[in-house]
Amino acid sequence: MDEVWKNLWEAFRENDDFFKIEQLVDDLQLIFFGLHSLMDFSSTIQEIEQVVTNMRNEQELASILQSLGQRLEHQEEAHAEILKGNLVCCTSSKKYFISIKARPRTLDRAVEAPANETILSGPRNSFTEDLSINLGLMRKELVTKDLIVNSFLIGEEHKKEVTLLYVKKKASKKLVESITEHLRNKKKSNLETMQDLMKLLGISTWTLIPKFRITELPHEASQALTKGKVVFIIDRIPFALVLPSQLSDMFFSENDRNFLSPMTLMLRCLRVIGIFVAVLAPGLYIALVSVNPEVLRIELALSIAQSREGVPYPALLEVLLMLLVLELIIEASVRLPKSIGPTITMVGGIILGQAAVDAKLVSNLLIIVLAATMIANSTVIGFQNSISIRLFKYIFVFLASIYGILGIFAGLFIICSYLSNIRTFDIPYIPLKGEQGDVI
Amino acid sequence: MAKNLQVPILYFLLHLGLIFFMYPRNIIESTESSHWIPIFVAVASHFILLILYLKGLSYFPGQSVISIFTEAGKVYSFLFLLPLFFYFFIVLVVSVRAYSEIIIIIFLSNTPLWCVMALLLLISAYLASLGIRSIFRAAMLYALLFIPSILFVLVFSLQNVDWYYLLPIWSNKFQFLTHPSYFKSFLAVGGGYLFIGFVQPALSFRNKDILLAALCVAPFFFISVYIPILTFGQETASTMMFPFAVATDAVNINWLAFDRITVFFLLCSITFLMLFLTMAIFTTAKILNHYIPSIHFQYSIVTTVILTFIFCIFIPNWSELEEIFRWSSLWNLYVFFTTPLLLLFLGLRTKKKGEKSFD
Repeated sequence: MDEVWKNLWEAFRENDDFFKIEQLVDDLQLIFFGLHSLMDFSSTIQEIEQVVTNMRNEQELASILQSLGQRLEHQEEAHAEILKGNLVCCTSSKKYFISIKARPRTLDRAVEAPANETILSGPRNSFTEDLSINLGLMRKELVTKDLIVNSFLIGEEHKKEVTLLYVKKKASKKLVESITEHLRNKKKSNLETMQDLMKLLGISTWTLIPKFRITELPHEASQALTKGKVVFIIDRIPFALVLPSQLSDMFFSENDRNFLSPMTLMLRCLRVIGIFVAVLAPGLYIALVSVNPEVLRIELALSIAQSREGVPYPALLEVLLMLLVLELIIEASVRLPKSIGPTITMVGGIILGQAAVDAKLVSNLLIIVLAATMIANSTVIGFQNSISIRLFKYIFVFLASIYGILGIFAGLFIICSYLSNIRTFDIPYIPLKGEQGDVI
Repeated sequence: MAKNLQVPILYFLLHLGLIFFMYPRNIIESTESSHWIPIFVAVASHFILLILYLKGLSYFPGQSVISIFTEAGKVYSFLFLLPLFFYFFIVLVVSVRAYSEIIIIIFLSNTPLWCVMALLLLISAYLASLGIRSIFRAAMLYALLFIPSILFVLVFSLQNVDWYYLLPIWSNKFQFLTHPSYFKSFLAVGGGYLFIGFVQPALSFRNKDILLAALCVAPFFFISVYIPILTFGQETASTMMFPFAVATDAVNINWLAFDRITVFFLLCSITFLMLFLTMAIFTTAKILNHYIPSIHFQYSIVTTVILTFIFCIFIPNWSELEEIFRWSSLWNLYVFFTTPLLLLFLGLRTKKKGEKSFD
């Protein structure tokens, strides 16, 4: 009888959190296996004992145990169950294992308010790392039988559970089918990051615009579902991935609709202006200072020239230097522990605000322009989008330094062309109303 | 047929890109008074050509000009598709060279010419390489972004207008019809409509929408000539190289931080011109690809761009360019007039054949 569980023992023997406990329930010998780190053994065993007391017959015991969990025929299944945190048990005479749902240790945080997407009005729940909690949140948010949840186990060495959510009548059949096909075909590849998922779905990772919209808010995800998009929830990833992302995701949030209509309009307009300022301001500064000063009113041009007096290098270098410092500050404030974070803000403020101007390294105006850029950059919804915007402004900076205002327009031309070409599963990034009737 | 706004919008933008630079000068050069008569003749012929062309195309639903001429036989393909190719190529060379010169004259006096030419060509080629659907989508974005500022400047450019310059309204002199400058002005009149033949089968459109777009373009032919005329008068305007640009330059808006709003206006129209270049590159490369199908479409775009750039480099100065322009305008006229007529002829022929076989 030893052989049945010997292999199991061998597989996990090196782990100190693995246990094998033999227990006599009345006259019957039961052997339990599991991982201390994932389950609360003592309370689990108490629950089992309550059920199996006064059980004389071994046959009866086995069937009762099976009703608590499930019967496992293969060794590999037993391994997987142990790694999931379940209790695996075998009796002395039977040739199979039974896995029993154990009481898990609390390893997940509770549902909390979102950390990265602050909302003023609207539901405050946010996703956590646990897949089932996230699914529950979605089900609570979207109470309809049309919400379909498809699960996939993906990965070779360690399996990861991915769920695909969509609303039956809203999502396009073609989209759902092609996604499902991709996920079925590549069951063996690893799935740890966004990039892995993109590769799984056959989307190139070399794009400047996020193909997924990432959100921490079940409310946003459910609203996206009702608009015919699909949502991925991956185990251990505390946000939902909405596919496909669209341009409007940058400045339209569902929570805006909790304000009055004029306010919604104003907020959205502000974000659109914000994007334009964030992308264009540094380039416009270079163009107006170094290439086309005659465009400005003469008084304005003179005062700008005055503020640059004594700055030893060309406008391009000046802007690039300060942009570099700014980007470093942003990166540093993400990296630093919360207690040291304010220091960086203070030091950055001193360097940028006064010292650099006093030392005649950069002009006053540039500080204003860059501050405006950074503030405007943060009005964009979603950190992913804000990184894209951060990148786009460099196209304008370089083109403006060569071609002036023409460069700015050339940059707009390039970016519009780029955006109009982006498609995810043949759904365009910028949906245009007049486009219906395309023959594909 | 499905409602599709992209094609009419692109049609509108292409013409806006062509109208505001050379067209006013050519018209002002070609006649001394009553400019509306030559413009009217031009607009009328624009409509006639467009209607004939659309009619011709409607006989071949879902087919591009390339496939229509190829099916018609080798002779037609040689007589009409090849001239079309050379037309697009020459227009490409001339407009890249001319507009780079204009850009340098108006706002980039220190930048070398090849640098601007390279920018125009590369950006347009990039968009062309993304394919026809992307071109049309992008056109809609440009329309959203830039049309407001164009309208803004146009409204404000009425500031310095003196309505007496409208007179005399009628003149009996029709010698503009033989003036070489008038032929040159036909680039703006007929330059845009040929592209419609290359849109199918990728996109569909309604003829009514295209005609509506042409109707929207028509006032701009008049505005672009009459704003400089009404601002400066014929005598002064005829001495200027780019009368419209100078006229908008004279506009002064007190409450704006910018002194030269022209720059924004001209750049908006240059963006539309880049769309024109994009379409020109796209069609040239498409025809090239048709004749040499072994090379990939992207490579035929690269070839087109490199050839254009080399030809542009070899045009030494503006007067030389004018010479080429004058020489090519006759070629353009040939293409403008024969293509729609032939298309109509082929259409009627296939229709007859179809009826006969049906009988």
